[in-house]
This record gives sequence, C-alpha cells and structure tokens, in this order.
Amino acid sequence: MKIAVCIKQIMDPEISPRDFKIDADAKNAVLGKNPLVISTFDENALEVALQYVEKNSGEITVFTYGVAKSEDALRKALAMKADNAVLLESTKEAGWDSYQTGKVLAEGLKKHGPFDLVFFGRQAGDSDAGIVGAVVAEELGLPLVSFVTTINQKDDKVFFDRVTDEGRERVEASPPLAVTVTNDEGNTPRIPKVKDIMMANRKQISKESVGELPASDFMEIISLDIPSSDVVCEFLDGNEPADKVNRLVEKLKESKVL
Amino acid sequence: MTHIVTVGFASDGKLNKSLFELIGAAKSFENTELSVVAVGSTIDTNELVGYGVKKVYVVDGLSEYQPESYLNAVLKGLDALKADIILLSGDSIGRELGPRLAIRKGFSLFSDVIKLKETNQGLVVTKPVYGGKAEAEFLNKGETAVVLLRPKAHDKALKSDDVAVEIEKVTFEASGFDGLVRIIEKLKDEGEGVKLEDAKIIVAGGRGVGSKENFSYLEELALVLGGSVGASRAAVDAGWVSTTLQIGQTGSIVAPDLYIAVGISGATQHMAGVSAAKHIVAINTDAEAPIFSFAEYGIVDDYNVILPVLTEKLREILS
Repeated sequence: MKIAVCIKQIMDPEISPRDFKIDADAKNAVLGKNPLVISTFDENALEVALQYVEKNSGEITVFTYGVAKSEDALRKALAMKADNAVLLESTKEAGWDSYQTGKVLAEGLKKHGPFDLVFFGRQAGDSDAGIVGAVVAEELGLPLVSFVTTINQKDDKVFFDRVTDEGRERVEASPPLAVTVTNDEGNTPRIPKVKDIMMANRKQISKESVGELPASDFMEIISLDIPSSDVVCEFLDGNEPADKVNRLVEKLKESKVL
Repeated sequence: MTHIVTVGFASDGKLNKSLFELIGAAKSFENTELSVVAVGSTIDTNELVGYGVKKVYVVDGLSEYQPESYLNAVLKGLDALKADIILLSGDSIGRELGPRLAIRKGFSLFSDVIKLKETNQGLVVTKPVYGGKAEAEFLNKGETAVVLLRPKAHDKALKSDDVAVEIEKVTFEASGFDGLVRIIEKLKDEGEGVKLEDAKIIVAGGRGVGSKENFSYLEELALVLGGSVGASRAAVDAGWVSTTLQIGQTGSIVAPDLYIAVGISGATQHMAGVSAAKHIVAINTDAEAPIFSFAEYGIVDDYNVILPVLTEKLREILS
C-alpha cells in the first residue's frame, strides 16, 4: 500500500491564552516565542497510517505545503517513522484559502503518486476549516472517508472506524481513497525515540518550490480579534467542602436549574 | 434578491432539527428567497409550512446516510435552482459533504460559522480561528458561497401561523448507492443514555480528573442529576474516555441548562463547544485556570473531595 499523509505546521494550539497575541493590522497571530508543531489532527492521521503499516505493509510519504521552516514538521514525522518526506516550499506563509492549499497538495500528490490512501487531519489547528482533505479528494477524484479513528484490513477489504454525531460506525471502502482522521484514545501520536530523531535529521527531504501564490479569489480576511468574556465568576468559598457544596446548591436552586 | 438554499436531511423521514437553525439564520437576511433541499426518505415537507420557505426540492429514497450517494443527491437538488448561498449545519454530515459541494459547484466555502451578514461588499461571515482563541471576519470575494453554520449558534426559526404559504414541492428519486464508501455497521459505544447534544445537564471532566477510574465520580453525579457525562479533548487523548464524549470545537457542541466542568482547564477549543450552556459551574484546584473566566460559579478545591459531597447532597434533595 502506498500511503501519503499531508501535514501542516502551525503555532502550538495548546499555548495558554496569555501567550496568544494577534497583530490586528496584519490580521494574523504573532508567533513570538511560541513553539511550532504539527497540527494535532495531522499527527493523529500519521499515527493511524503508521499503525496500519505496522499491522499490514506499506510505505508512508509525508507532504507539507509551507515555508522553509516547515521542514521541522517533516523531520518530526520522519522521526515518528514515516519513510519519505516532501516539502512543497512556499516563499510566503500560506493564507486562509484552503482551496489553494488543497490544490498545491494535490499537484504534489499527483507528481509523487498515485497513492492508495491519502491521509489528512480532520482540520488544521489554526484555520479550523476542515476543507483541505475534501479539496484534494475532489482534485484527485477520490472518494472521501472522514472522521476516521482507526483502520483495519481483512483480506483485500479495508475497514474504517469513524465517529459521527450519532456515535461510531464502521465503513467499508476500497482504495484509492482520501481519509480524514479525528482524535481517539487509540491514535494518540507516538513520541519519537531519540535514536529515531537523530536518524530523521540525516534523512533526505524532497524540496520543491511552489513560489508565492496569488491572492485568493474566494475570501479575504477583514478583521481578527480576541473575543472578551464578560462573565465574572462568583467563587463559592467555605471552610469545609460541605459549606461550598451547600452554597452551590443554593445558587443552583436560585437559578432554577434544580 | 439573494437566494438562500438550506439543506436538510431526513434519513428516518423526520427533518433534522438543525435545519430550523439554518432557516432562522437565513431569515436575518433582508430581501431573500428561501428554498430547502431535503434528502432522505419519506420526507414530510408539511413540517416546513409556516417558515417562509417557498420551494422544497426533495430527493427521496435514501433511507440511510451514505456519503457519496447523499452528496450526489444534494447536488441533484441544487441543480434545479440557482442558489447564491447554500447553508448547511456543521454537524458530522454537513462537515463531510459541505466542502465537496462547494468544490463541485465552484462556490466559496466557510465552515464553523457563528455569524453571517450581508454587506454592501458582499457576504461577511464570522468564524473562530486558532482553536477559538480569536475570531475572524471573512468577506466572500465570490458571488456564491457554501456556509457551514456551527450547530446551536443560531436560534431556531419561529413558525408563523398567519400565512399558510403554498410550498412548491419537486421530488426526485435517488439513483441509489454507488458503492464507493459503504457504512456497514453502527458500533456500540459505552456512552449510553441521553445524547450529549440534547442533554439538559452535563458533568464533564478534563485532564485534572487524573484517571479513567476517577470518571466514576462524574458518572455518579450525572446519574443523580439525570444528566450525561462529557469530557475535554485532553481526557480523551489520555485514553480515559471515549472520543464520542468529547465536547468542544472538534467534538459535540452542547447547550445544556447546567454544565459542571470538573478538572477542566478551559482551553478555548473546549469552551467553543459549551458557549450555549445556560449555567456553567467550574470545580478546579487551580484558581488561575481559564475555566473560571467562563464559569458563573466556581469552587476552588479538589473534585474528589467535592463531588461525593455534592452527589450525596443532591441525592437527598432530588429523591
């Protein structure tokens, strides 16, 4: 099985709100000293692909579209034991238009493919759009299986467990396919071993320039701000746990919740 | 005149409730024509009378949701009309089909939208970005757009009894299943009882709960309150609870009367899922935790001391 995993490097979404700053004029977040990471669902996607290959067989190539420093994300993926890495290198940070990103990735996948399975995180941790996987699926003419948590193979059939609003379901589909992955207790990304990190640093990364993309035909960001909360929390104090609990119960009665 | 088309699904014959949120959002636009594309089986369009809907395009004969056949069905309904804006609920079906619809139609696409308005320049949507830490406004530079609305961000449309509008109904028979992606089994999950989306009371746990076993404290409290147990992504990723319990921007969007957050730090992507909660109570040992800037009432203490006392007290009162 020839497998591709598309990843994106983003500012760590786990940083505290205190460290999150925006440039309202440039309409983007200020990186400052915050770390860059692989977007979390993309790491889950890589983990699902790695588990599949371990149980069955296959070769994994990770792709990213981004500026030169996105190489770090590919190195991490290689350290997690992906086989190959391709950087579709842009001279400018990607914009908000996921169509453009999807089309660049689709071109890269065509050039290095065809792939049997193309994985994506369900959505990027910065744009939270969840569009790129669908764009690539459409560009490559592949069916899409979304919100997948785990993959199993039995004979020549591939089964995907996925999450919906109704619960979980199992889907049968035949490659070639595009797959978006959501987090699950079974696909928490592995932590690379030190030895593998060192090996990954020596690996060759295929770099291809995509230059600078034109402005989006579809969308333009016109404002970015940090919403403020006007809620003032009333702390329920007391000497004993029972005092705090009693005060809470009184409050809930007053608000007619109980 | 802007032609807004809302897309509804009725795999069991009953139109999904979120369709009425879409209609509510569409009604805030002036000078619009409102149509519905409904996909499913044995759809009762009478449910739509009184909401200002002029036309309903029904694609019937699809009793079970299958992504490829539903995608084709919605496209078939859309072929029959000239939409300017296509509205879908950002539930699991909408998030799966919306992007592909937009691409096939050549429309712009905006997802997880919490507000939308028509301006002189065109459609402007507001959506959270950076995991909910910020909100961005985007102008649609195209003529047309597919918009996925965050569930529960808009009130359901109110029915008006005075005007009985004649709905023009056009029915297509679905061409059936194309076999590419087939849902073969609904898997059982440990999450029993009330669905999180519909729960009136939710007791949710985060990283601070500390272990899988300790979620039993939350389960007992939820049981006494007749509520459901939820979790933050941190608790799911730690392997303590199933991903189907996850609440937040990438889990369930909930709107309970009471939300009790236990050992939850209050990451913005989690809070994005509970912004429609009427009352939020937070229990956390860290008085500085961001959760307290969202909570109406806070208790700074260890939850495994507080919850048993609270459960016992409520058992007395409620029994």
